[in-house]
Amino acid sequence: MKRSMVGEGGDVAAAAVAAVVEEEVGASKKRRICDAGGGEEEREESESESESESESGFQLDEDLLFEVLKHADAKSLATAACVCKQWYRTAQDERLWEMVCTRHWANVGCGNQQLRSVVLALGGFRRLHTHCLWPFLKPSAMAGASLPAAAAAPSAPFSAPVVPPKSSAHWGKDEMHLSLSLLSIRYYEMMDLKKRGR
Amino acid sequence: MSESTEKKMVRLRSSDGEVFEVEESVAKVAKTLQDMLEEDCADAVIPITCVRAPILTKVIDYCKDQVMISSSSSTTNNPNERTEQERKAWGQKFMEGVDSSTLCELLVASNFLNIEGLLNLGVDKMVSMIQGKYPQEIRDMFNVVNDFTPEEEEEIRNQNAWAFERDPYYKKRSSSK
Repeated sequence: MKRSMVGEGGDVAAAAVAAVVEEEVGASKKRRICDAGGGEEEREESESESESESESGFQLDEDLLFEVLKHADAKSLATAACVCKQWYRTAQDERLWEMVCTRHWANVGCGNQQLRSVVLALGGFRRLHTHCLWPFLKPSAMAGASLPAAAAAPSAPFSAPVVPPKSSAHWGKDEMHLSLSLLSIRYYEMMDLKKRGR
Repeated sequence: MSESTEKKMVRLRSSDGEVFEVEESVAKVAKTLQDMLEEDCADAVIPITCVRAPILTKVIDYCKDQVMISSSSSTTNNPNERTEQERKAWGQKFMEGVDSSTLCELLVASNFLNIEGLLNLGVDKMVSMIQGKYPQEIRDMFNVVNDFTPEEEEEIRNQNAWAFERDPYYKKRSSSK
């Protein structure tokens, strides 16, 4: 199955990668390196950069932020990307999204390396999650996420899911194959659009 | 730990110049310090250049506790020093009341000193603080400056719109007010 997705034509995957690269480049153009450095330098930098941060603005460097986000759920990870450029760069890391995705799969059914190469060729784990996992995990994920948010929004409209969040947290091989297929279909469609559009 | 029965003391100096005297066994909870002490390359006072005194106090509290549980477990017949639940509860209590800037400093300190347990506590705490929050709340909490241009921010928010679906601002849901 995986073979057929990749084997459909090397250029299919290549074009998919190209599409992602195109998008990533667009995003990275806007990225400016704010401050990447070790703990001590970081503090000195932020002190000299803005006077308001001298006392309480102790910023984490990207390695530590990465450590934190490794344990974050998908929603927190997506939210973290919206905080600032440094957080965005860190939260885009495919390794984090790989962890988010594989957390749902009790049995991947193939080697991690194999899975990684297929998913990365088709656009990455972040996209896989956003487009092919989240829509199915949504109700239970929301039930889980709405608990801490309940204080902020007590009129939680998501009372419907009765399923405990954990029951759908572990997917089998079939679900994984399905989501991978969806991901490859998505890319196929996107490519087509791009060819027609531009 | 076995060879140092006479309770050798180690002095640590925080970035703001305060000197702390602790037992060697306490200092050795920090792997970075353990390496220094074992290689015998530690000076009379070890400078901890990136950790302020109030944070170092907290770190030392943690290390003392770790020493206490490991020593008490060898005297009592309880093989596991604490049950998983007890450890969790203790960790929560230890991090209770830690504000976000202290938390960041604790993370940096435990990373620098290589204290895995404390780093994990800090990470868990930070994850729980981020969870269910909006970007602006996170910025406020951790004093992060929003350095996106409005266009960039909108684009990135759109990319991650699914994470905000409960927010009526991002997706007008009929059921939400």
